[in-house]
Amino acid sequence: MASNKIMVQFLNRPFGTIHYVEGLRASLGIASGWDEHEVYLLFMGEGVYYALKGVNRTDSLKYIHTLEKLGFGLNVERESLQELGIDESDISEEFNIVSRAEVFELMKEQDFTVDF
Amino acid sequence: MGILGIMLTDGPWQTERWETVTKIAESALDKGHEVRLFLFLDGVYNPIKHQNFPDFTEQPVDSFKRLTEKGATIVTCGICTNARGLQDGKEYVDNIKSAGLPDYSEFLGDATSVVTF
Repeated sequence: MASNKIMVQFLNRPFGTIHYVEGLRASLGIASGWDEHEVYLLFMGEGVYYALKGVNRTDSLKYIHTLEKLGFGLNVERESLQELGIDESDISEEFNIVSRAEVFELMKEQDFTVDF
Repeated sequence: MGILGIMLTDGPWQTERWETVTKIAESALDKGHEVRLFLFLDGVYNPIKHQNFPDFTEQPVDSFKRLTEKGATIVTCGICTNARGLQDGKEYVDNIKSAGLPDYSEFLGDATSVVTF
């Protein structure tokens, strides 16, 4: 076994699917297992709707808080916001906005990426 | 030889992801690689026994069964399994383990490569 860098990408809308909550639960499992993998949580594509202000995150809040305590924050891709016509001022302050170029560099550092 | 990890989040009756996964897995096994599958979300429906769609000559579950016979390790997310009333996978074909998130972490720790479907 090895400690890996794993990017978890959230690509699905937070409505109509439950991928977001399962992805966050999986992320917690990844981060808190024996291997203590390092996770990078990235919302991109239609997954960025989860980052909007006012979204009901009740079902996944416990995972977010625990991941934050472990040092893993939430990130959302800027270009995905632009492609969907979402203004950055509409993004909840818990999310760090990163550019696609930064995402590309981060992806090169990862051992794996998994998507939900 | 490497360890190929495959995560599948889709069931057998809406899309053909299961077919892509099982064909990739079988090819990897035939070339001598180790294959580990982690079934998440609706992916946990794939290994249930007694599934039957009359138009198919081979049922999706048969492909998963063949993978275990060829040595693949197949694990399902226990919470996903029980959320769907599958009772820890008691209706699964043989050699499918219903497990927890520590197993998912191990799955990602052991693999040489990981692909998700």
